[in-house]
Amino acid sequence: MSQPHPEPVLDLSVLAALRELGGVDEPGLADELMQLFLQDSLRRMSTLEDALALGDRVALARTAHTLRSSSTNVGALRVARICTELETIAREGEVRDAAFRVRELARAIAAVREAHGQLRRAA
Amino acid sequence: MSAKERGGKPIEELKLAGNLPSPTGVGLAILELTRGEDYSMGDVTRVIQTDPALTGRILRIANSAASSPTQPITSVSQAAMRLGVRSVRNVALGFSLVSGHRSGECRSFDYERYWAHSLAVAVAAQVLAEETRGVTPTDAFTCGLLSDIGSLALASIHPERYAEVLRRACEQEGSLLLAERELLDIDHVQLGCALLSEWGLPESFVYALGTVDTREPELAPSPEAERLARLLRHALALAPRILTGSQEGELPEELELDVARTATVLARCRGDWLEWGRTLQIPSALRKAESAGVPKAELELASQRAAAEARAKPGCGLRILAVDDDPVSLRLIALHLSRAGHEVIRATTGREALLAALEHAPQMVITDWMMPDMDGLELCRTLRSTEECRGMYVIVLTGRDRESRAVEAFDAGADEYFLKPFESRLLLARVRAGQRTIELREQVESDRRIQAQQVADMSVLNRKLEAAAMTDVLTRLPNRRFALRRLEEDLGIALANETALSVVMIDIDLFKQVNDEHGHGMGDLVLRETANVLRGIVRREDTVCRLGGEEFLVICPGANLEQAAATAERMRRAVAHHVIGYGYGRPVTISAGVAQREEGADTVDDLLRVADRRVYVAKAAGRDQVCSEDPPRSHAKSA
Repeated sequence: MSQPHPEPVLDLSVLAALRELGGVDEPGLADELMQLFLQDSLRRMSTLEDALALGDRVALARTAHTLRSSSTNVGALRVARICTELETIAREGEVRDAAFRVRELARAIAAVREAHGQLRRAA
Repeated sequence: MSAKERGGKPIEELKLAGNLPSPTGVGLAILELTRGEDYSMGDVTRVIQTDPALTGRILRIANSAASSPTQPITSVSQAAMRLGVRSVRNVALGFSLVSGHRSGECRSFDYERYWAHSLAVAVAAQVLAEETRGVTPTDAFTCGLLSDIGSLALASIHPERYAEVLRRACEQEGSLLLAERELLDIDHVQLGCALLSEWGLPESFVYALGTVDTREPELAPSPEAERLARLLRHALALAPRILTGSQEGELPEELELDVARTATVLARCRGDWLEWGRTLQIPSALRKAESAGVPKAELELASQRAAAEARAKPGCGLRILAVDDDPVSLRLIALHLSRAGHEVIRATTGREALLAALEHAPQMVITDWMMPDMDGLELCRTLRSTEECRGMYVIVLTGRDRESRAVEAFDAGADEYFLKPFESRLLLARVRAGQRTIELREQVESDRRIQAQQVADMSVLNRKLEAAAMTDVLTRLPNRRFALRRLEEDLGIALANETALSVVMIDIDLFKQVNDEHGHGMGDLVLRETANVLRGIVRREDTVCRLGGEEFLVICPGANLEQAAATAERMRRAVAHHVIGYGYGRPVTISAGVAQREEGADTVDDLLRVADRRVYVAKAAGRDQVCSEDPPRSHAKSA
């Protein structure tokens, strides 16, 4: 029932750039950053759930903002886009719509985890 | 040889080096203000209050020193009331030294361990002072804090040569003093003593410090100094156990504490030490507690390696604190910065960043704007209001959506802002630009210190002139002008804190006769002698002033009517028993009137009027007596 998304889950060119950045000194950099993102996003999701339950718009917007920043850095395009929308809704829209976005966000993060796992297995 | 003499000569020579540890900022202001004897509580509290961090520390110690559970102290002036303005001044100086010398040029000197150790000695001295009585706990704390200041000074003056001293002392096992004397012609105890007297700290401090490394100390200048010296030796013996948290071994026998008490004392010291470590942000007390027992030599080897590495890239690394609640960004920023040769400290919240800033004294802070808890701008504002962090170069990172609000970042005190997501080359270019600014600022800061010193020299002169205007030439007592100003000030404090305050007005009996019968020369002598007797009788916090003629005023902050009347009675008796000599046979007597601050009498004029009226009553009743109440008036209206 989920709507088609306009972008891929992961931007592979970002990951390639990160791998290049790591270079020979830190070959694990890209994976490390991805792990950091995935761990952090778990924490953020529970913060978002709490904020939803309390109707705390400020916490919603702030958390979405931070999550957008980290997702952009690892090329998690879909997560980043949903975060941008969630931040706007949290500031101006209906909390009901926010709940929908948060669920969507959880799925997008799961998709990143899945895609990253596949990439690692393929490597 | 007294401690002063031992350090007297070298300090003049060493001063030329210009690198002696010295109080900075607020500390310098306090030092200047209080060089003489006649500084007031108001002066000191005003200066301290300009620094929130210092204020917090003073309140902390005032509350911990409260022996009985009374109302918590919430203002610096209350702290000064409870501890005495001199103790507050000393402890403020001590703290300003801690904050100013967290790190330094001598690579073999472990600055962190140095302060962790000094803090342990301070805490032990304070706790022991409370256990054994006889020494003011706050003074014990300050003396402990500065107990090894000479080592810091030597490391600051001769960073390179002191490294050599440490190396040699390590080879020769324990003969640090010897190595210092051989290579530098002075040891850290001598220099420490010289510094303490230079900063105008009490003679008892200087004596105590001078005795720590000798088995046969010279004669103590006072019983108080003797007690402090003994206390300091005990505190030094306890310090290693506080650092390691070890409960084993016994306390010095002289303390006469049983096993259970020993455990309590150690536990309290340890607890206080950790607390203070957090307050003062001395990192060893936070995370290196377990390794603090490592001998200097091993630390030195490690730091030598670090030194070699640091020298490999001369002048191209800053110490940068990076703050971002997004761990991915933070990792990337740190990566780019450290690849560019900078040392990076990381924090993920504003509060964590604040602690890290105090702990590591970074030269630059790069912080995200949007963070929960304390955001980047709040962090920036807080840094700007703290003495230690005021000069840090701050870059605020912000998303494009906030670009239009960049002006807010500058208003909060940021030096620069930068857009996220960032491009690494641009970020590094901004950092380089910042580095140029930082280097300039550091130059300016060092110039400013020199200027401050010159201004300080000037202000000594000004203060001497001012003191002259406030002092009665004949008796050397503060004059009427000073008396009224001081009373106004003390009364203000008493009203604000709802504490007692009394005054004693004193008039020499039949003074006119002295002048008439013996001439004015004898009159002057009587005034001087009486002034000396009064000065010797009052409590430390009281002020004796000469109002004019044969009239004196004693201001007794904290004293109620009864207590002030007791003081007055002591003064009356002392004057009556004092033999002036010089051919003046007749005893001099005084009449005194006592008044206390109370409802309906809470202005300077009220107090003086009531006291004056009672002097008159005492005179009328036959002189040589104290009157502290109005006589029942026979014609008084009944209520």
